[in-house]
Amino acid sequence: MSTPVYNIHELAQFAKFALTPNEEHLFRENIQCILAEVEKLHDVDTTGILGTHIVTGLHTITRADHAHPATLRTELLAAMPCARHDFLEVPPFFKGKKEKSAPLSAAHSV
Amino acid sequence: MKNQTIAHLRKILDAKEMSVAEVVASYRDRISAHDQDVNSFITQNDETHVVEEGAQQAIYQGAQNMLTGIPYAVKDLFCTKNLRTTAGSNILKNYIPPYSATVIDRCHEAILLGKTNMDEFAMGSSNEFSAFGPVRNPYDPTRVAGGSSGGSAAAVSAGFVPFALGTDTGGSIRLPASFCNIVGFKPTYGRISRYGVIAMASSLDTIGTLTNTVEDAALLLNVLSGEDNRDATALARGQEDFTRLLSHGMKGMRIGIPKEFRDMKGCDAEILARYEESISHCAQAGAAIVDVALPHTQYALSTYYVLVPSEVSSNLARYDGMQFGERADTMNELEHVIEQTREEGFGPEAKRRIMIGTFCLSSGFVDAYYNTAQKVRTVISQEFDRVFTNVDVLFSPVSPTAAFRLGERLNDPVKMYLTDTFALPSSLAGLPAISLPAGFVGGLPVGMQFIAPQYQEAKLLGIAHDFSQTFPRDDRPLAFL
Repeated sequence: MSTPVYNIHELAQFAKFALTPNEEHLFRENIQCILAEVEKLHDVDTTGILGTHIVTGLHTITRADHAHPATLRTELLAAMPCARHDFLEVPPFFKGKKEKSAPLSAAHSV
Repeated sequence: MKNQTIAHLRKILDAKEMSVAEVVASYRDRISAHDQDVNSFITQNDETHVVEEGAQQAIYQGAQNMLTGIPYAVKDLFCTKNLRTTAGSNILKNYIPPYSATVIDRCHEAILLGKTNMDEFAMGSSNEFSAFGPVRNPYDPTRVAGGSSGGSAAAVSAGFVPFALGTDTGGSIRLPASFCNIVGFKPTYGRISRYGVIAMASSLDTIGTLTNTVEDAALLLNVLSGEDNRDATALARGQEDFTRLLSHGMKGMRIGIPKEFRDMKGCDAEILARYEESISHCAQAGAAIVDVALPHTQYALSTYYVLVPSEVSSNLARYDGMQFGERADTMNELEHVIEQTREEGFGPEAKRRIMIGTFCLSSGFVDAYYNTAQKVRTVISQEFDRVFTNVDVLFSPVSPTAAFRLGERLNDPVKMYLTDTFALPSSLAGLPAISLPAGFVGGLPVGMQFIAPQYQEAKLLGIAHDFSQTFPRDDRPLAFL
């Protein structure tokens, strides 16, 4: 399999980065080299082989379903970059557009 | 305080030759005097007086355990309640965790002196990818200490602490231990709970120890291991005494020498010569040397550098400037804030791996890369299983070279990745492995490693202990002392 072609700008957006033009140039080259190196994976015959998801073979690990009081609210709020009125504040999804808020009961109706 | 061991400090404290406060002060003085030459600490913990007093009281009452009053350090990847935890990254440069990792709780009677420097989010082999500056090798400050647990390794090597904790995903304990002339131990995947340890590659991350002796590594594993219902991958195999085979030695053991490691292209000729010398040494100690073949280890690097970036891209998606960590100072919309936060907060290696992982997991490529790498990982693991039916342990160098110069490999990621060539295969198979000092080459320390089957840490430690007793560490002075 030949080294795939991709668009570094789109890849960066997909990975949620706003790269500078210099970074795009650098990473395009780096990633191309790394992908060329990992191409040799395709030389291995993996017919009938299942992938390893956990190397110690554990599966379906459970524990008793006991609720514990949440005691870290104050500390978690303190660690947030922006908290207001005891809640996490996030930037607007749509900047500058005002939305008519739906009543809570309607928004949560099934 | 250099080369002090847990075992020896325990005797000193229990005999009241020194108080806990005096031991701690000795280490703090050494750190103050010399860490500017090494840069092994990101944050020092000044709030230890309560734990020190409690430890001293426990000693007076005869209620001490193995670690009571013993100073230590941890890689800055371990959450420590109310003590800054950065993961070596700008994106967490001011993060104060509200809780501690399980291993920190298990060391509650030891004295945590600080959080050590590391490659950002444990991604790197040289400890040059830290947002807090590189760690310098205590034997040559123009060279790297190895990574990603470089700060922990350098701190032990420099005599700043008698032991430190680190993580090893693809050699990140063993490699810096080798470069810094100390013992670096990675147990079986899942042996030690990772609750509270910041995740990098969840199917590979393994907590381990940096110590001056194999005995200390065994003592620590007794304290740190065991099930934890907050970590579903932590093994529940009952209590085990990992020191029980320390006196058994390597006589009669079968030590496998992989043909592919003996012929490794790009391995320094002097290191290969030291490898052969070490093999002869094992034979003289009574071990049977067995040639084995691990033909698929040549694919370990490719496998690792698909799986790890893929897992990294998932684990690091949470750093978006919303619930914790830094947020970019912008009045823009949500998507822009997230992108700018990550752009400003992550360093180049983190970005590189996240993008590779995003690519390998994307629709159209996930089968060809991620799923294929998972299958090749199985092939590599099965190969180790077959070989271990004929040998007790495997033996190899830890790294193809000794510590390289700062800046030498920063612009060549593939060359940097090749540093872990010997360490990666055992990581992919979840095997326990230990790096031991094996002398100096060109004035720099080199290490050799033993690798055992899963769950056989006690046997591994016994063989390693024998090797270290009869191939003693070259104890030449550090660069700054």
